[in-house]
Amino acid sequence: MDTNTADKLHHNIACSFCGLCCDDLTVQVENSQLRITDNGCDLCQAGFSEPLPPTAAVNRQPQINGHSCSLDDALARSAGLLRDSRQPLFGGLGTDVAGARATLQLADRIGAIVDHMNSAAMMRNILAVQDSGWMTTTLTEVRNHVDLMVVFGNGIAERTPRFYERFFNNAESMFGHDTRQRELVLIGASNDNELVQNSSRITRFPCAPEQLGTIAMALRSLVNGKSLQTENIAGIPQSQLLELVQRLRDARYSVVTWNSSELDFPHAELTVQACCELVKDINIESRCSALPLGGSNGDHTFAQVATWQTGYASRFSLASRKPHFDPLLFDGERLLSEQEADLLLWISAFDTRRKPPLSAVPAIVLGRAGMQCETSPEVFIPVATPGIDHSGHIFRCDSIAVLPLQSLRASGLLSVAAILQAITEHL
Amino acid sequence: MLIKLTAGTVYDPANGVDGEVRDIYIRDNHIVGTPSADEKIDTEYDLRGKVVMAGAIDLHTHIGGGKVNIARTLLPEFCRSEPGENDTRPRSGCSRATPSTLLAGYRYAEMGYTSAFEPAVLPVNARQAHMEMADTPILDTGGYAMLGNDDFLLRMLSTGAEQQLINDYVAWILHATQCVGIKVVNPGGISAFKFNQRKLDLDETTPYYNVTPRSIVSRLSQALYELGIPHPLHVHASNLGVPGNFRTTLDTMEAAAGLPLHLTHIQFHSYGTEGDHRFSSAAAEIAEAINANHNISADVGQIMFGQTVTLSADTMHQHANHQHAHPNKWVCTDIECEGGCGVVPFRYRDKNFVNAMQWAIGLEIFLMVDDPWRVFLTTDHPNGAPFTSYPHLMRLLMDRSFREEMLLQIHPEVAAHSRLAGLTREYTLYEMAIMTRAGPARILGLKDRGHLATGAVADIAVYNVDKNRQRMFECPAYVFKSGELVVRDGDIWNVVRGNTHVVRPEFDSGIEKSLSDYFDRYHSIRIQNFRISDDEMANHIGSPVMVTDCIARSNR
Ligand code: SF4
Ligand SMILES: [Zn+2]
Repeated sequence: MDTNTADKLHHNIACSFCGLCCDDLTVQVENSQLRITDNGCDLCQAGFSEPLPPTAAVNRQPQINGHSCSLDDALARSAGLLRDSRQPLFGGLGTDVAGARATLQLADRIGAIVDHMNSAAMMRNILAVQDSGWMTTTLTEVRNHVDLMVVFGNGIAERTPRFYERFFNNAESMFGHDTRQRELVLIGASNDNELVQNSSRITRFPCAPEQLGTIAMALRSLVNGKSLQTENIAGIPQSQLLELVQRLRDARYSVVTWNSSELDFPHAELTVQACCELVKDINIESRCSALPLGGSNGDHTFAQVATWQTGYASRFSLASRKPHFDPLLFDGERLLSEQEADLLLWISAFDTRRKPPLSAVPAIVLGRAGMQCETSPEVFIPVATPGIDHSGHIFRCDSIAVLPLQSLRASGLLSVAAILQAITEHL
Repeated sequence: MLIKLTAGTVYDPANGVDGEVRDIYIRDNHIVGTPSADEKIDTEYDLRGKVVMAGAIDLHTHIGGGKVNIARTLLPEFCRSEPGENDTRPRSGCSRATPSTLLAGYRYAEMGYTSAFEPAVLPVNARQAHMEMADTPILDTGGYAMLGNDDFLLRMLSTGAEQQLINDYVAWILHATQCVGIKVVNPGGISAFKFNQRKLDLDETTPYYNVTPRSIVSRLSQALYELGIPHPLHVHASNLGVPGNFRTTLDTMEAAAGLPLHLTHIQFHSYGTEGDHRFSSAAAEIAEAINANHNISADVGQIMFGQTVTLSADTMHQHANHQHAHPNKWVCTDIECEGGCGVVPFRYRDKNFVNAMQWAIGLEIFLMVDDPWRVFLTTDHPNGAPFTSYPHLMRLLMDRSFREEMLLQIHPEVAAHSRLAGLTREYTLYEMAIMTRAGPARILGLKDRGHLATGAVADIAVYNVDKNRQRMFECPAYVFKSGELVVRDGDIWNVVRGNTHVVRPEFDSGIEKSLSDYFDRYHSIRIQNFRISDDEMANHIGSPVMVTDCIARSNR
């Protein structure tokens, strides 16, 4: 890995600020200030260019109850709190592979409950998979094969800004297809059509998020040759859905996508499942794949590491010498509001805005330097950001590619892994 | 640190030692010769009456990479009951068929295994595979990178690229992915599935590229031969699980044209179509071909009855098999114009004719292949069964009367339709040491593993003699990894970290230029971020590399 941290231009840098993990960025470094000069998007520009607080600033110092302290004191205090806790919760968990490994090692040692800050969104996909599985594809596959793309929900441009640029409007495909002929279908309240450069045909079926599942189920029935008893499905004439079904059947390689983080309504996993079952049934005759998009704050990274180390992605407990998963019981927000946890260890190394939920439970916060908590936690330790202040690894949203992250400046801040290691030594 | 293992009964086939009582000395990580009389022995183990073998090596087990995580996600129920609450291993874990990585490492060591190889590393997913293996404690590991459904290779074949270019690409992939061998899965078939083709025979051509699986096998095996990669092309042949597929398997052997070829989980590729069920054993034909062709080796992929999950890059056949999913849920994924992944849970039933025949076919192959150096003990974990069933499998092979007892318990027609009942062979301890130690080391080119002579890495398993071979192999008295005691009386004693086996064939780096351009135009990762560096392996992934030599050969 390139660890030359002098002021300069860095090429082929990977971005950790959404699940696409674009790795074609050029980043300019001047006096520890970063700027994306090539490729990238607003989201990543904001993530990379957030200024490092001055060395003397409070939120670049370890604190105990809001007062600056030495790192050693902060570590010792953290270790003491962890030792005394009867039911610790490890939340946030915005970190890289090394941070996830260190988190799980410590959680296993002290018997913590583990829940990532994005687990509500993660669970919508995971519960659907646990119930019936799915057929999916990955980004390079989409970039080269897709000829019909169906987007469920409010669009994917906001949370994965470069998706269309890199995977739909790409200039050429491996198989010599004219990518300008690609077709896009938007089901939901999406304005993605404004971003798409060259699709020959964009079809929109506006609907409320809660109706997405109904539409997916109706499409599935039609794919299976069943007729529906009603003329309109969520306001869409059956004839239009039939026409879409025909296009899905005729497509060389259709892709159905959604971002589970915006399906924020009760039992949204059933909507995900409806999309997945639709995809499976199209594959009886032709090819179609699901592409679950989204991701931020190392959620896919944490999910992957936790799954191989414990069997579960999030919302599990290591309290009983055996991983125990329960998506309701071990929901971190619930544990905090019900005060079922007596200590929170909150980790957010990418995003200063992802602060611990307000609660009466005492907290140790490992936050990206510059994070300003509403109320002072018991302990605050500023941490380095992976891919900016230190090298590391992050998983892309398709959980197939693992991108290396580089150290781009010497901030003197310690990584989450290093701090958790040090806390463990204080235990 | 000098350790003496005193007077154990040693089985060390690589050095022709068949049950001789010997002392073995370990200095630090290695086995050394008899020290001079004035040297102080730090620790001595009295191994009188115990059996000593090199640490076992599993050359085909799915313990790393995205597909296992997909299976873990799909099957949380596998975690609920296993292991029990009173588990005392250093880190917690769960599941038998899809064990969490730490548990997998402990469990392998608890049976005397000290190395394991992940056979299905997708190049784009190689980092994850190595991370998972790095988190599998105690074991040394290695991976086989999958080629043969990747656009770049198929494109080269379809445009008639010279063998030299193919060699360069194969070598580059081995470097970039930090792998020790190359595997091909349903050559061309995974790619064909993406073009909605559901079947591909050895001499049919793939959509878009118009290349045959036969040419993929022959060009890749040629490349490995010329590059001097010790491990032959590792082949998951076409037509997995399809009745009558033994002919494809025989033809695939022929496609190698005398070059070394390893056929993996060959049990799943040894099916005929005779009888009322249109499903029969072709183990005899397959074993005969292996016996006759010394360039061919195979691992069996034995099935055992019970619940497991099948994971394979072969999306074409996994998708076709999804209606057998038990429980009824499954995953198929197309991956990066490079490969795929299909995960289908499955319960093998002893009263089901086909399943019971599969069990018999695997055992027939073990017992009918004459040369234990060319057949390897695997269950294709977890496809045939979890690796924890190895001791049971060893007993089946070493104890004829136990085997016959088992045969009586399964579907009654199997005894009539297979030759198993007539096979009297019982594997000896010496043969078992070949099949699980010396043989895998030799076929992987690992000169300092799988044996117990001076200079070998001190990976050693010590077993209490027990007529019940299952009990014997389930619970070693001692296991040493690189000279450290890691298991005592079948329990983890101490945890060490493993390393990663790699090969570094020479190649013309000119290939990088075309690859770099190709990545930029079509892929979603830059080539600079695709390659895994040695520093990453050691310091970030957590498993430093160990290089096995390659001796390039001129083309034949
Ligand atoms: S799209 Fe996502 S990964 Fe790509 S540059 Fe923007 S924030 Fe980063
Ligand atoms: Zn396999």
